[in-house]
Amino acid sequence: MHREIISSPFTDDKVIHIKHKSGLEIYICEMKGFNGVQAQFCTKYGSIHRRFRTSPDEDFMTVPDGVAHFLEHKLFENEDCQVFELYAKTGANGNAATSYDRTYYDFYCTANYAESLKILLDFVQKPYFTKENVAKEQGIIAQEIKMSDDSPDWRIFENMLANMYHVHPVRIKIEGTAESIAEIDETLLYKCYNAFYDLNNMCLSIAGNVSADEVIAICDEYLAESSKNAPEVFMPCEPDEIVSPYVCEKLDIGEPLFSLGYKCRPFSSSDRAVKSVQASVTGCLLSDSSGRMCERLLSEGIINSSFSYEVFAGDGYFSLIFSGESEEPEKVRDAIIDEIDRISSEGIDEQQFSRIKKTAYGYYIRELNNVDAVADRMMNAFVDGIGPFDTMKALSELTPDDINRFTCSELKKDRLVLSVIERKCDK
Amino acid sequence: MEYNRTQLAENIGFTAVRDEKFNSSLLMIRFITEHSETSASANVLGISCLTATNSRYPTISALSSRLNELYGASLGSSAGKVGNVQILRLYSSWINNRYAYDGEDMQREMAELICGCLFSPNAPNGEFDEESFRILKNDLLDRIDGETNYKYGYAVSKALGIAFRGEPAAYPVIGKRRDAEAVTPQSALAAYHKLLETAQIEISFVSSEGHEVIVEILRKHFSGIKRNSRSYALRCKSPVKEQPETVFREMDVNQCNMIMVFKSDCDDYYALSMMNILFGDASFSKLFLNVREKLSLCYFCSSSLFYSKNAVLVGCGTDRDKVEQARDEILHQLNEMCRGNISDKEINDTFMSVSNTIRSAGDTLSSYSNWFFDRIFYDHPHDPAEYIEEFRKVTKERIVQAARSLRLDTFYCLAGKEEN
Repeated sequence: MHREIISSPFTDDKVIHIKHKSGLEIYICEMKGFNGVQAQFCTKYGSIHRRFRTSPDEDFMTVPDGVAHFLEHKLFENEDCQVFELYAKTGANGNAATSYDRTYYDFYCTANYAESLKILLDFVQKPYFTKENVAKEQGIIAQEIKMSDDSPDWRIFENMLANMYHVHPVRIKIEGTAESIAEIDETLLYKCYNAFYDLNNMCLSIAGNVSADEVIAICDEYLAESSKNAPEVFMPCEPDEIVSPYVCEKLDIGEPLFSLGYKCRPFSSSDRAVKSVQASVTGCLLSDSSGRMCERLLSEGIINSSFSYEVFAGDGYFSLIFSGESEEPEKVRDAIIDEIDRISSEGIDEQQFSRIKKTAYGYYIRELNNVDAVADRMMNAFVDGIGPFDTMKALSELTPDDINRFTCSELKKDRLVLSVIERKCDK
Repeated sequence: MEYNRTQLAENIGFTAVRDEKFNSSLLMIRFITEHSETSASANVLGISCLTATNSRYPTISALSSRLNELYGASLGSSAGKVGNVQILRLYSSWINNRYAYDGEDMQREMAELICGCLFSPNAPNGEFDEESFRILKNDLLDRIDGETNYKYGYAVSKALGIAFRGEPAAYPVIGKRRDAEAVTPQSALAAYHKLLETAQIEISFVSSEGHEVIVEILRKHFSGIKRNSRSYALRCKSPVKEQPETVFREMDVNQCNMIMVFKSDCDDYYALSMMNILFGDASFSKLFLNVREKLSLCYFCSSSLFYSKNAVLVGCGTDRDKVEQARDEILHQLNEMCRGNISDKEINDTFMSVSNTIRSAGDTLSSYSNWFFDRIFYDHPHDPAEYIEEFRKVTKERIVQAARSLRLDTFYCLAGKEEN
C-alpha cells in the first residue's frame, strides 16, 4: 500500500492519497471543525464507455445506450433489501450519479460515517440483478428520460454535442432512450459490472470530519484484492471538424436559450489540468461582465445575467461552452468570434487578465471551505488523472501568453456550434 | 464557534458567528417586508440595482472589475417569499486577509464597498442610473418570462397560486410581467428607500475573523437613516377550501407534472416535520418506496413542508394515463399514516434523517446564516443538540395527528397534450 500526503500550494489543506492493496485509489481530506462527511465511491465508467472488451482475445462488444446509468440505478437493490433502507439506519443521505465519463455513489452524513462507509463499500461490490428487478426499473428510468427531455438545458446541451462530435459517444444521451433501455437485461448488466467495477478502475474520495486511519481500516476490511485488468475501451477516431455549425429545436418555453461550443482538440491526462485552466480563464475573460464585449451585449439587451461559460472535457473530448438566454443568439456568436479575433491579433488586456486570475484563485480558495466541493475535487482529479491541487498550481503559473496561445490554437470559428432552443409559440 | 447578537439601530438585528475553520467570510443583509402586487417587482429591482453599481463604481463593468480585483468577491441579491412576507437579500462573500496575496485588508475593503452600494447608490437625480436599471429590468422580465422553461417549478408556482389565492403568498415573489414593466428608475429607488426606512432588517456575518470592523462601519452608516419599521411574523396559516380545487393544464411536454397541496391546522411543528419526512421527503419515505419503487410510476415523488403556511406539497412526474393511479397511491399512503401504519423503525429512521440535517448547520457560511435567521423568527432552540432533542420526543401518536390534520386543497396537473 502506497501512501502520500499532497499539500495545497496556497493553503494549509492536505490530501492523503493511498494506492490501496485492493487496487483502489483512496483520497482522504481530514477537515478540522466540520461536522459533515462527504464520501464518493467512483468508477471510471460512464455513458461514453459503450464499446469494450475485457480480454485481448475477445471481440469488442457494443452495449445499448444508457447501460452505465441503468446499472447505477440497479446497484441500489440488494438481494434482501433496498440500500436506502440501510442508510436510513445511519441517517446518511445516499445518492448516485452517472455522467459521460463516470458513475459515482455518494453519501453525506454528520454522524456514524464509519457505518455509512461500510454500507457504501459493501453494496457497490455486491450486484444483484434479476429479470424482475430489471423490468421494474425500466418504468422509473423511462420517466427520468422524459423529465430530461422536457428540460431545455439538457436538450440544448445534447443537441450541441450531437452537432459537434461525429462519432465520439459523448454525442449520445447519458440515459439512453426508452428503446435502448428496453434491450438491457440482467446478463448484460453483470457483464458491464464485471468489466468496469474493478477496484483498479475506481476511487474512494472522502472529505470532512473523518479519520484517515479509520477510513483505511474500513477499506482493509471491506475491499477484496482485485487482480483483474481494466477493460479495453474502444474510442472511435473523431475528426477535428464539427458536424454542423447550427442546430435549433422549438420547445414550449418562455425564454429562448443558446449554447455556443468550441470544439477543441482533446488533451491527454497530463495536459488536461493546464489546458482546463487556460480554457477556464479564457471563458471567464469572455463572459465576465467587466469585459468590453459583455458590457456591450448587456447594454444592447442581447444577453442577460444568465450568460456564463463552462469547460467540458474528458477522454477524447474538450470544449469551451458559452450559454445563456437570448432572442438573438447569432449576435452573441458573432460578438464572441470578433472578440476572439481581437484577442488573437492584439493579445489580451494584461490588467484584465490579472483580475480574472485573482477571481479564479479566490474561487479555488473558497471551494476548500466545503466538504462536498473538496470530495468532488479529489474525485475529479482521479478521473482526470491529475493531482487534487494541480489546477491551483497550473493557475498560479498561468501567463497572458498562455491565454493568447490557447485562443489562437483552440478557438477556431469553423469549430463552433451554436445550439438554440426557440419558443414553439410566440410570446 | 462564537455567537454574538446585537442591535445596530431600530429593528436592525446583527448576528455574528465566528468559526475558525472558515477561510472566507459572508455578509448577508435581509430586508423583511410585506409581500404585495404593488411592491414586489420594485423591491426586487431596487435591491438588484444596489449590487450592480454604486456612485464610486458607476457601471456594471466598473463594479465587476473591482470585485475581480478583490479575488472574485461575490456580491449579489435575491428575493424569497416566506408565508405572506417578502425577503430581499443582499449578500457578499470574500476570502480572508491571510489569503490575499497582494496584502489587501479584505474585510475593510468589502465593508466599505458594500456600504457604498447600500448608502451611496448610483442614483444622481433621485432615480437609479438609467442604463444599468434598463439592463436589470430586462433581466427581471426575462426571469418572469422564463418561468415556463422549467416545468416542475412552473407547476409548483401555479399550484401554490391556486392554493393561496387571495393571500399575498399566491403572488409570484418577483412579481408579474405587467407590474415589473411599470417599475421606473425612480420608483425602484423609492422602493429601496422605503425598505431602508421601514423593513425589518436582519444582518448576519459569518467568518473566522472578528466582526468589529463590519459593525463599526455598518453602524456608522445606518445611524444616518430615519427608521420607522415594524416586525413581521413569518407564519401565516391559509384556510383550506371546502372542496379541493382541480386544475388541469396542457402544454407541449413529455411528462406530466402533478402537484397536490395539502393544508393543516396543526401547530405541532416537530410532528409536522417528521410526518412530512416519512411521508415523502426521504429516500425511505412512503411515497418513494411505494409510488416509485413498488409501482414504478415515476422517477420522483416527494413532499415538502411549507411551515410558514402550514401546507405540505407533493410533487410527482408521471405519464398522463397514470396520473389517477399515482394520485390514488399518494392518498392511500397518507391514509396509511392516518391509520397509524407507522413502524418504530420508520420513526427512528425519520429521527436519524432530521438529526443528520440539523447537525449540518454550521458546515457552510450560508447554513450558519440561515440557522440563526430561523432562530429569530421561529421559537426553536439555538443549540442544535436541544433542537434534536425536541424531535426525539415526537411520538407515533403525534405523527399520526399531524397526518390526520392534512386536507387536500389543490390538485394541479401540467400535462402533455393528448394525441388525436
